[in-house]
Amino acid sequence: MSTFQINSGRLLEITLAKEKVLALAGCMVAYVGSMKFEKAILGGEGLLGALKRKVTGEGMSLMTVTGDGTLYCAHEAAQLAVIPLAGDKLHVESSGLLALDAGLKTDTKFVGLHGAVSGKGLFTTTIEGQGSVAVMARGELIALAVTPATPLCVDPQAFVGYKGQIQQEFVFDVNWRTMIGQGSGESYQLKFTGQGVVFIQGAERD
Amino acid sequence: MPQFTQVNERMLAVTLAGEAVYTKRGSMVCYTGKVLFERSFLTGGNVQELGMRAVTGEGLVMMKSHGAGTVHYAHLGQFVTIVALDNEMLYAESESLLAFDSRLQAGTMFIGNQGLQQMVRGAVSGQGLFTTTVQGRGELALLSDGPAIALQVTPERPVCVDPDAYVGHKGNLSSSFVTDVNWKTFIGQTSGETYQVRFSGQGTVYIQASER
Repeated sequence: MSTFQINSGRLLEITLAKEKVLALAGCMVAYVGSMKFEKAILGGEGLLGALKRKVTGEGMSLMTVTGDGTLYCAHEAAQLAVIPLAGDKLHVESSGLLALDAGLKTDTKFVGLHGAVSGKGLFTTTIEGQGSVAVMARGELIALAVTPATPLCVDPQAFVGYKGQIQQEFVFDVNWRTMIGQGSGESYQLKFTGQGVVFIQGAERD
Repeated sequence: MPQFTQVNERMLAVTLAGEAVYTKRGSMVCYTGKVLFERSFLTGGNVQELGMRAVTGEGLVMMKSHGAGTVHYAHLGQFVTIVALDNEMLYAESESLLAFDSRLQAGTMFIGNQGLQQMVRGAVSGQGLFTTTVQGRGELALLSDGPAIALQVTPERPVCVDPDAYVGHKGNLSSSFVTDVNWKTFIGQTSGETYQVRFSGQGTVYIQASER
């Protein structure tokens, strides 16, 4: 099985023994051994999945890498983290995805209308199965635990992904000050309830 | 001899005791002691070198700091890596070179004279046909976007590098251009990794975790 390892926080080392991984197109910085790079037209999810992706705009420009050796991946010096999956499902913004095992199943999921407000898509990418996923973050990736007793609210701009049995809803904090342009800058949040882990980054996208 | 020390991952300190060090122009952030900064015309080379640099566009605009004291250097918050050379030659893009001590010799090398493939390499990667070389015994500092990672190259283990992530290399290495063009490239479905540079031999290649 391919192994994922982070070198100095910003470089991903993937060891392949005649295996296949999916990675963000163009993210290879170096490799040792023999590797073949191809654009993943279907992204490992079949014709219907690819079509869905096209329509929803949750675009993922991935390439498949097959080979024998070590592959080094990085993207704009973003800080990286490896999330291992053991049969569970990870929800992640497609823009935060660097690489994943080819054995994992990806799909696009409708997350509701609140996406319209946050400026993030209405759709998110889900990854399911056994294997590793490498995600990117600005600043270090932070994992926050959510339990039934402690729901968690996060700023949509700092949200990277989540896994576990979690429901996601949208919280507004709009009052008369917001209407006259004196918003605190935190007028809406994502609220997560249930049992699982939410990943956030130490920076807010604009 | 000038002492190179890493203050943190993005800042370099050089301690001088009457010697000189060449650095990227304008990269001084603070200093203690009595140090003079002046524009360097020859930068450790000779007049011919200067002419070559002017013509090739591999512009190595350096400044010379000399005196006694400690100088701190940094450039745009980029990561700094100190490399010690022991009678070796290091190749780097001039923009990645932050500082080198005055015992080292800088030059410009035409990398396109190894056949047509190399010409293509420079043209495709946008990295130019000329590169800066630094040789001798001493220390230098490289700049990179994200920490620079040193990959060892041995005769049994050649390393392939994306030209956009390449920072520099040293040792006895030869480079060749590798293309991975297939039918998908022609219908616009490229993987984004259509060309690479393969280094083989014995030495070290420095890469950064970002693509220019």
